[in-house]
Amino acid sequence: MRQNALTVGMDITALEQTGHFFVWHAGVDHTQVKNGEFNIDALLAIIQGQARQLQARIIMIDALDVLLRVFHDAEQREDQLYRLNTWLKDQGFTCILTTKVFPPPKQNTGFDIADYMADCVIFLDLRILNQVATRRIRVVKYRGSGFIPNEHPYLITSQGINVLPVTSIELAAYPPPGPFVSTGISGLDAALDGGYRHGAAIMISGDSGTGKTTFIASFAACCCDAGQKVLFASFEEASPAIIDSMISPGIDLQPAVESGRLQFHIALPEALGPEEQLFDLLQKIALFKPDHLVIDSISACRRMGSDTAAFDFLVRLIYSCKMKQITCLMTDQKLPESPFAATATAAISSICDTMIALNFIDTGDHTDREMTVIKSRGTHHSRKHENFHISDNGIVFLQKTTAQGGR
Amino acid sequence: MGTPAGFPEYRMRLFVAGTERNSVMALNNITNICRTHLKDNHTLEIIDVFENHAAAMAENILLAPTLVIDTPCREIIVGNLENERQILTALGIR
Repeated sequence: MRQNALTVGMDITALEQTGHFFVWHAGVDHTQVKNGEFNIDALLAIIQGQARQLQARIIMIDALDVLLRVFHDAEQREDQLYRLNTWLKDQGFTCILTTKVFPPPKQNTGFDIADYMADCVIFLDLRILNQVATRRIRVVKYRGSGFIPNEHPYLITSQGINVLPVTSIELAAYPPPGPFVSTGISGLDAALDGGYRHGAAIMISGDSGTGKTTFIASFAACCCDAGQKVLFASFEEASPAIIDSMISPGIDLQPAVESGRLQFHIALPEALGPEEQLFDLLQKIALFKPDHLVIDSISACRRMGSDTAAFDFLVRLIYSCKMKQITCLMTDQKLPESPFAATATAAISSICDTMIALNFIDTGDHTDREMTVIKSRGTHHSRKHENFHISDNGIVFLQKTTAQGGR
Repeated sequence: MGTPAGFPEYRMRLFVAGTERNSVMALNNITNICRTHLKDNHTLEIIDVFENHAAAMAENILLAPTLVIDTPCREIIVGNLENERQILTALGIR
């Protein structure tokens, strides 16, 4: 137990040395013979004696169900739980105890009574959905408290247990987007009435090959050039491949990497559950403190388990960035049959400040690319389909675009 | 069976929880067995877990009453000891 606790950031040995903490392995002897009635008084005597020596007020009993298994019928187990509860109240102890949940078919195990006796009941659950395991915590009851009854994902990391309640996000609390920052593409700056807004959430959606990664790499390079920090989160490619693929359209990310202003966060969506993905990314953000976050691509987030998992992940990530005034520029793979981004991630469009669609257009003998600003809150953005191509010097818009034009 | 002087054949310890009903019953039952079957050839130590929790802890005694037979053959019996026959079997008498 001491060793295991170390892996989740808890040093039991150090606690024991303070003299305020005592752990005892109350192993149940399975060779004992039964002869008439008995009860758990010896355990209570041991707890009472040790608590007195330690002057302890808090008792923790792990896996009470294992001990109570020596009682054969439910009625006896209920009696013991009553005995324990009465004794705890008499002694004035606060007690946290854990017990397994007995799955259906529902039968009287004698443990149901614990739910009624306890002042606070917390339910822990591990669910596997599409091969991704997620731990969830739910407060079932808490006398005299205005608790949130929803389920919350939680993580066990090397720093302990982290609960990530999505409901705790206070919408009113985050600041509005800040001043314009250049997109790194002059034509796009014009179409957006000045560029992206600092701290905004921006989504670029389009088919494979329309240039989504080139758009966000242009932004990353431009910001780093201006002395700002950018975190590039990639769910699809490793950093050398990203850097290499941007050489052809004339975007050199290498100086930004060398200056330390551009950092990569590479994560395979399947590798971890969405909560762990979010935790890792938020931790990276907390350490690096970027001005801007670019994500390629959010459609990959569905592979974290489900549409709901992807949605949860993105909502929490975007709000978290808005709170910290970090620009969040995302790409999304458009599905062929849909006009805009049509993955589950389309559901987050309402919390995006700016949405840009990239499309191929068939001219008869070749395909061109065009860009449409679907929305950009608080700006006089272009409403035209703007043609662009990917040159050796980045993205170039073909006509002179003006923000006011074609609205 | 012989009785070597000063070395009783049957050595037992009974862990009780104060004057709790089953503990009192167990004490009565084992005392009767000792008087009837073991005569002077035994020792019986009574330990109240509320007085001496360390003794219970040392042997992982979580349930009360618990009878620990140390000799002739180690055996742990939990309960009020209402079944005399079973105890005699454990002691190797019947």
